Amino acid sequence: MTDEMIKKHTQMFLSGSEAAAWGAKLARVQVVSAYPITPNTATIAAVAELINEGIMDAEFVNAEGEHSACSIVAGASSAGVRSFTASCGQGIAYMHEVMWMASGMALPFVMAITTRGIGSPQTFGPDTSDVLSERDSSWLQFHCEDAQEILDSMIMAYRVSEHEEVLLPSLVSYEGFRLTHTYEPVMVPDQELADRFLPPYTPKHAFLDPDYPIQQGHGSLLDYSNMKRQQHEAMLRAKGVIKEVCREFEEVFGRKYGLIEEYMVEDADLVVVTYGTAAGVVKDVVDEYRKEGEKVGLVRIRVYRPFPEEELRGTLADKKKILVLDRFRSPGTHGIMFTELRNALYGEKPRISNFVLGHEDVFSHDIKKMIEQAKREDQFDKWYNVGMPEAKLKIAGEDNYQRLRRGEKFVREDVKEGSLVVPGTNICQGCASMLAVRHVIETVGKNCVVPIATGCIMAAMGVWPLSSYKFAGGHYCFTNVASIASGIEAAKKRQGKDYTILAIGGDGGLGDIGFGALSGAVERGHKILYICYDNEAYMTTGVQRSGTTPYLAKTKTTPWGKNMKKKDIARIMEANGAVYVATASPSYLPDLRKKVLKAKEANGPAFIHILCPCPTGWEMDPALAIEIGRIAVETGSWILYEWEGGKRTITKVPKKRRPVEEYLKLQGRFSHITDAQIEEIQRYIDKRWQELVEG
Amino acid sequence: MPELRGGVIHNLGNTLFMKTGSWRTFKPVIDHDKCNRCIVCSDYCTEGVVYRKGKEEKIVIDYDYCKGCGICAHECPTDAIEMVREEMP
Repeated sequence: MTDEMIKKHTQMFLSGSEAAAWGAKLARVQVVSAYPITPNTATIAAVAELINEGIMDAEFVNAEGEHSACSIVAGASSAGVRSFTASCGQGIAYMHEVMWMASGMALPFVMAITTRGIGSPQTFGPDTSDVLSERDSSWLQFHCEDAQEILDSMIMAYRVSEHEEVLLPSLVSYEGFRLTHTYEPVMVPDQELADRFLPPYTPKHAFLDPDYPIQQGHGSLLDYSNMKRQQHEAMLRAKGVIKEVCREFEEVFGRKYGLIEEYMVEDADLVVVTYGTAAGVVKDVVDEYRKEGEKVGLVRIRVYRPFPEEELRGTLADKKKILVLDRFRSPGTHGIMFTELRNALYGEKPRISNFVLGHEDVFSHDIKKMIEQAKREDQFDKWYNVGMPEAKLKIAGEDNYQRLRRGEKFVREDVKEGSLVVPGTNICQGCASMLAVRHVIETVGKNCVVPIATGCIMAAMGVWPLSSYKFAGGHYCFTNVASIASGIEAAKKRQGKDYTILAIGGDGGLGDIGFGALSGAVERGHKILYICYDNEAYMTTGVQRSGTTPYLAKTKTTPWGKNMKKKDIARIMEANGAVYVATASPSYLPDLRKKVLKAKEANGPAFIHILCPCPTGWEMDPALAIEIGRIAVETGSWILYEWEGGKRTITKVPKKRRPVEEYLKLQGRFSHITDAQIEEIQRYIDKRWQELVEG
Repeated sequence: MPELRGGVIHNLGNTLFMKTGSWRTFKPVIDHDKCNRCIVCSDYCTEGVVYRKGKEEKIVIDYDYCKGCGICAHECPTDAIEMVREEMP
């Protein structure tokens, strides 16, 4: 970078997530939509914070699921506006359909992938299985090594995607936690410099405008393959465009990028090929080998789609040995980069070996061991450091499994007696959700099967091989707890068994992302008891707004205070066809237990909506968790009722309703609101009270 | 021999060695003279670690797991529970 260029930058101390958010800001993104999933949460919270501080000017749309988040930005892009989203792991899997739609429609927006493995088992491990699973969806893929590269790639990605020779969406991928949550000095360019490089987006190929109407997304019976060919050719052209954009980027900003990065490769005998953060460690190792006179080098694949086949062949064809460090193996074959690289080098000289690292952190001593092995052996394909420890299998109950396999009859010691939820849970101090769910399950008794949606109650049960829960059940996906329960109910009919099916989800798992499945299951009339523990935001992922977050509450994705009202899931369920609907509170345990017993006996779908104060997300003293639930009822903020046969019965009527201010002032999430806003909330509560209680 | 797969757990309730008592900053201490054994504290314990074994027995808190949220002290109708700061080990 020249002095002139440096003057046009500000050095900031940013996490990878914040660097991505600054990238979106500098690209003058106008519509952002996302759905919280760890660790993308850090990225979307950073964007929300930039908007809240007035640094960035964009519409921020909080979606109710990843499928919608990607659709919202696709919609915005379709309307002709530069847009941005971020996701990872299961979220990418869930938006898979929309990703194909977007690339098929040639919508040139950008998505950040904060890589995370796809479950089951649920993991936070950044093994890049999410981003690599999208290799065939016609999205360009940029894999970053550090925070600076994330910011720069964001700006470049828009240039490449929007180029008329390309017109495909881009993924900017950076590893979860290793990059999303680590801080580095980052050179942030001035807006004027970014504007010089990235002009405003003016779509000419596809945009929705009544003044110049077009149609998009029509079916094609005979031209499908033709349109796929167009995508492929756009991908191939993208290689040239990326090179050109990188050249121009260097001219404007002084930082150099390419399709691949070469480090001490020219005279190397053995070259390590990898991508992402592992490359940084390998560079250190290469330096050490070079000090001892050994010719080791590194190639980092920066752009994975389009695949830089010619570049790799040009650099690597005459090398003796190549060691590919993959993060993810396609089960049934080799590591993904290995497969592609070997294909690119077909018929060439190098002997190629493969280590699949998985999501693990790797250190220089690990890399050295791998290089030494590659030097010793000819060609191999191995996992690095992956093996199931016997101790863990033993804790999980391997013995019981083997006895079951042998057909032995035995009494399970673990479930003979005692509470159905044992201590040692991961739940926060003073969690009213845990309290409510514990009482619900103890009331139903152990003759139950309990699928649990992603959320606090799932996170609480422990990480394999541990489980605090001593009843039959498990965790499935965020979206599908009601569908899983429906399947269990259908199977139950075939087996002629009798037990209670309890589907547990939070305001996300049943109210937002899982709502479609819930609505379908209730309409079908399965005999299931749905328990919605509503803590009024996505608390497991670190407090992001949900549909049931109340009006004006602050969360990480609504730092300005949510400007919509709370979604009334219970009343939707009444209209949806549930035979028994109730609202409850863990502060009123006898009332809760009575409702659970009634719901358990209901002859069809039953739904209980429980308001569960969350000390972490509501920003309050955990000791007040029960008190505040009581105040919610006494102020009329939460109305306890049951609804059956079309009739509503209020089960707890406070003698005199307390002013809502007493409820709000105890919670940090409402600390910013004005007296006028408190009055507005009071009027809303009065109206709802009239409707439900007096009406 | 096929090993246990798919993240299945056959041995439930095995989190008991996770001694979450170490999370505590304040420790609930019961004054048994003031306590009327009403079990409100037990009902509202989010961890389920406050017990009364028999009707006439004293209330017991399992400090191995109590996370020190303070709900029991706040809810106690006779103010028989005091939150005492833990000493540094």
